[in-house]
Amino acid sequence: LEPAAVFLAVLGALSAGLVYQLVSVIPAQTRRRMLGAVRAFGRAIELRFPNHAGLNDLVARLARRSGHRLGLGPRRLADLEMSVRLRDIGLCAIPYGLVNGRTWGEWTLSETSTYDCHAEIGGAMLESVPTLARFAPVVRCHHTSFAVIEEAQLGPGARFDACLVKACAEYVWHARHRGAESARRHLRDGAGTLYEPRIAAQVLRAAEGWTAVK
Amino acid sequence: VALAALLGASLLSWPEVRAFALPGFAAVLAWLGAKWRLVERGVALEAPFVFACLASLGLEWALAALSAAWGFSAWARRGSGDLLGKTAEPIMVAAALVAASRTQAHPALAAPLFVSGWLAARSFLTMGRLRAGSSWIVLVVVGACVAGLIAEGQGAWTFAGLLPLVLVAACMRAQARAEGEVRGTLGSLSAMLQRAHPNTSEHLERVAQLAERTALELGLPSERAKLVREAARLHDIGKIAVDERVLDKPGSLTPEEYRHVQLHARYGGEILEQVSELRAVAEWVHRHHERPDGKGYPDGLCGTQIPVEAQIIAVADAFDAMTGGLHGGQRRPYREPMAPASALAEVERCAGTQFDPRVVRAFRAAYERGEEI
Repeated sequence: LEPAAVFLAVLGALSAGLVYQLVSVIPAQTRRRMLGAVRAFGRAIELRFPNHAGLNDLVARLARRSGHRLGLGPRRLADLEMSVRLRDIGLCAIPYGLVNGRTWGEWTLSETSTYDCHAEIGGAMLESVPTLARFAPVVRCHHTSFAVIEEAQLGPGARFDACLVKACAEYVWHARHRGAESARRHLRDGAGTLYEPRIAAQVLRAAEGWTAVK
Repeated sequence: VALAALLGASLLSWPEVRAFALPGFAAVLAWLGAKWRLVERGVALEAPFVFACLASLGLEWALAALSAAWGFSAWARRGSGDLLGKTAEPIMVAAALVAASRTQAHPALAAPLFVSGWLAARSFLTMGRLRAGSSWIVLVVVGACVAGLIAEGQGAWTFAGLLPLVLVAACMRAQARAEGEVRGTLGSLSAMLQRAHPNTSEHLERVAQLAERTALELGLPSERAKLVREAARLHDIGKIAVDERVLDKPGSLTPEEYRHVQLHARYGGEILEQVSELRAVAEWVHRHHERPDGKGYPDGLCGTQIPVEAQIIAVADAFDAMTGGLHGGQRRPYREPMAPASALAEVERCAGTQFDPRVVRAFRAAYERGEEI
């Protein structure tokens, strides 16, 4: 072998490796690190409101399974997980005493509306963080019913993600507090009004045989 | 770079220009190197020197050695999140030595070439961390050198050698940008979360500054001191999980309320542990209320069991709380701010029990130096 050819081969292999780093490894690392940062704030909310403990992981898993069934690629799935983990970040502004030490259903109307502000607050928070601003519309609409989301000025991706996050989050919430059967019924009955029908069907399928939330 | 290469190639096609090109490059680069060395405090930008020097070297050997070194260091640092780091420097020095030993110029040039190669290696290793505004000049100069080499008929080798170099620089840049994005996101989110519980943001910024200065005074490396600053800025993040009615309560706390507030140190550690880059910071935040005499919380560690970084944060936090009229980071209506001299005296009084005496000494020195500035 000519030394020059060997050198060229080495340089070629090295360049190929670096291109791989640049287009695949580094972006994946970045997404993973960003997810770590976001997970930290999800953990902060869970520590503040212990009745939310573990919900983020369950919703993220259900959303990934449902998203996979709906044909989302790895990047969309990663974005979806970010939306799931960021959705309740606005809870940091909800009074501690409103949620802790209270049982489900004993809120007054005014307390309910205070709690419901968390989606709007979360959206506003994310809008001011350039790297996370694209998740703001999804976070803002993650408790909005399908009929209203349809009329909102959202891009198709954000609309889809908001519908999916809402369906998964509410399924997991109902399953934890009222049982899996009630959660399934709630999702089935709400399809077309509260939930996007195709997404609700896929979430129900993804949740079939899934024992994690029971 | 392409534009500069084209411009350089057309200029260098005139022999008269070519005769002055390399000495001209050398003069410009020497000036830029000297200037940036001052500005960047040791981050040298002599990389382009190596290209000028390579023109007089056995180019194949030099490029092959440098490329192999980059390849090896990339492999050695794989999965670490830092493509090229300090460990690569000796390898690059070796490559520079190989390049210098292959010189076909006068032997007296070997030493300067070796130094140039080493500085070049260091420049490329730190390139990803340079300020955005300065790097374009490097690229233009490198492009012009490339043009010179192409004009000398070394185009194929130059391209083959430069491609990995450009890719390494691009990788480092992408990593630096990613790191900045993650840190920025973390900083913005934590600032917002803590704004939800007011009184703390100015206190945290002051504590961060004091802690960084103390860390430098103690002789910690600057990277470590920056981490201490970050930890100090985040040290109260666990208060997100504490009832604000207790945090804002006027008057003293009941034992149960006090235990509830104490949880913030453990919570802070738990929150930051989720971020892989901040594992060390999580430990410091977890321990920032421990005391050398073992009477701290959450675990009652004592002496050397407490990381020095946590002790730095503890001193800075206590000092700022006293001078700002805060208690546990919260403003208490009944507590008047203390004068800095009295607060320093109080911190010194607690050296050996509440605070590490070595850290207290460093804190005083850092504080006084800061005041002078």
